Amino acid sequence: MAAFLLRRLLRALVTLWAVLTLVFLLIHATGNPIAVLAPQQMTLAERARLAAALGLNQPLSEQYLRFLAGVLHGNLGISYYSGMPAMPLLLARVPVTLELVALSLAIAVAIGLPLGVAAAVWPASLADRMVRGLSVLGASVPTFFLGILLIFFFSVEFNLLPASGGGGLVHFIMPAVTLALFRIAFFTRLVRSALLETLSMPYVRTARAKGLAERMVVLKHALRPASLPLVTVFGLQFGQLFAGTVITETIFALPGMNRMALQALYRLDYPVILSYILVAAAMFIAINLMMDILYGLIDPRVRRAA
Amino acid sequence: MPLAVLLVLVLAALFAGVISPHDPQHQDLLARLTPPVWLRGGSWNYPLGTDGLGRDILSNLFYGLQVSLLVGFLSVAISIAFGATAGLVAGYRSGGWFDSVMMPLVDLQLSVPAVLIALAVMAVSGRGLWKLILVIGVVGWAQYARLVRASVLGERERDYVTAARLIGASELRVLFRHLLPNVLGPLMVQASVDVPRAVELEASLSFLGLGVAVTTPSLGLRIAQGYQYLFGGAWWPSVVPGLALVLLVLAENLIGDWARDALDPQYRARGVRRASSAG
Repeated sequence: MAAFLLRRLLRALVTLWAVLTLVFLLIHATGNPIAVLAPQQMTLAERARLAAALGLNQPLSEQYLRFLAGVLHGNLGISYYSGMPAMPLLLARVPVTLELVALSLAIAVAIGLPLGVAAAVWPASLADRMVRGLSVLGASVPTFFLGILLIFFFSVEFNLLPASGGGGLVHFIMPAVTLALFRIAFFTRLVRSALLETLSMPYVRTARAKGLAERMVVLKHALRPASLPLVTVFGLQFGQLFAGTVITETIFALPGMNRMALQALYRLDYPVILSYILVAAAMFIAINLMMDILYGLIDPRVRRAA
Repeated sequence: MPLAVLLVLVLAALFAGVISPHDPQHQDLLARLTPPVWLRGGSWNYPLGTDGLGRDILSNLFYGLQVSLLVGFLSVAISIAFGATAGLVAGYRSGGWFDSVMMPLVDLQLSVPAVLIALAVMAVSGRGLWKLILVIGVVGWAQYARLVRASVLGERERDYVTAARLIGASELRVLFRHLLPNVLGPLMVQASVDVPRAVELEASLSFLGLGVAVTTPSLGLRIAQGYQYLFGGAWWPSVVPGLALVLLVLAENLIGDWARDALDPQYRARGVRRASSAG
C-alpha cells in the first residue's frame, strides 16, 4: 500500500510540474502584462522600469527558474494589481470556496442518495420515473441561468435571501443550491445504477435467503459495495467543483478564490493566476490520493490487492 | 418529441434572417424594456419584449440559436477531428512513440477542467466567435482520443483488418477506411453528449464576458446583458433567452440519452455482448 501511494504521489508531482510549466509558457507566449498594467500616458522608460521591477525584462529561462524556485517556497511573487504577495492573497479566499463546495455536495448527497436508493428498490415506479426526468432536466439547466432564476424568485420577487456578497450562512444557501441541483441528479442516477447492479449479485440473494429483512439487505449488503463508485465520483466532483465555481461565485458575488482568479485573468495578473493553478492542482492531487486510501477502507478486496 | 423540438430550433436558427421581425442589433430606444405581449404594456410589435437597449428579444433569440448550434456542432467536429486521429494512430501502434507521447497528454488534459483552460486562453487571446469555437473544440479532444484508442485496440486484431493489410492497403487506408467506420458507434455517442456541453460552455464563457464579441447575439451574452435589469423587475431580457438555451440543451441531452441507449451495446444488453465478444 505504501509503495503504491508513493508511486501515485510521484506521478502526481510530475503532472503538477507539467501543468505549471504549460501554464507558464502559455501565458508568457500570449499576453503582455505591461500593456494591461501600464496607464496609457506612461512613457517607454517608465514602462521599462515597471517591467524591471516585476522581473519581466529577464530572459524567459531565467523567469522560469525563478518561478520554479518560487513554487517550492510557496512564493509566487507580488500581485501586479494589488501589490501584495499573491499566494497569501489567494489562500485567504480559499475557505469561502471550500465552504461553498462542501455545502453544495452535502446537499447533493443528502438528497441524491435516498432518491437513488428509492429508484433502484422500486424500479419503474413513480419515484424512478420522476428521478429520470429530473436528472435530465437538472443536467440541462446551465449553472448561471439557474442562479439567475433563483435570484429572481428568492431575492427580487419574494425578498427572502440575499442575492450577493459573502458573510453568514444565508449568503451560501442560493449558491450552494445552484451548484447542488445538477449533482443531485447526477448522484441519484449513479446510486440507482450501482445499486441495481449489486442487488442482482449472488451474495445479496444469499442474504435474502438467510431471511434478513429487506431493509437490512439493501442498506447493509447492497449499498456498501454500491457506494464505491459514489466515493470516486464524489472525489472527482469535489475536485471539479473546487475549480469550477467561477460562474456561481461571480453571479452571487461571493469572495471565493475562483472569482479572484477570474479577475486576475482579466488583468493578466500572472502571480495570482499561477498561485491559483498551483492551489487548484495541489487540491486535485490531494483528493485523488485521499480517494485511493478511502477505497481500501471501504472495499477489503482493494486493500488485499494492494 | 425531443427530435421535433430540436428540428424546430434548427429551422428557426437556419431561417433567422427570414423569420426575425426585426434586425437583432437595431435599438429602439423609445421602446426599451417593453414586456412580452401577454404582459401589460406588451405589444405585438415585439412578441417577446425588448431588452435594456430596445432590441427585439425574439429576433435575438433566433440569431442566438444560430450561434449556439454553430458552436455546438462545429467545435465537437473539431474535437473529433483532433481526438479521433490521435486515438486511431495511438491505438493502431500502441506502445509506439506516438502512443507514449499522446496518452500522458490525454491524462493531463483530462485532469484540468476544460472550462478553466478555455477561460485562460480566451482571457489572454481576446474574445471572438471563431476563436471560441476553436478553443472549445481543441479543449475537448482528449475524450475522443482515449475512446478511439480503446476501440481500436479491440478492433485491430480482427480479420478484416488483417485482410485489408494483406491485400496491400496503405496504412492510412486501413486507419480511416477500415478501422474508423468500425469505431464510429461509441464516437457518435460521445459526440451526442458533447454537443449540448459545448453549447453550454459557449453560453457560460460568453456570460462571463470571455466568449463571443459583445455584438454577437449569443444567448449567454444576452442573458448576461439582461441580468442587471432583473433587480428592477424586468425578467424577460435574461429569462427568455435562458429558457431558449435550456430548451435547446434539454432536447440535445434527450437525443444524446436516446443515442446512448440505442447505440452503446453496454447499455443495450450487457450479458449478450460480453458473451459474444469472448468467442
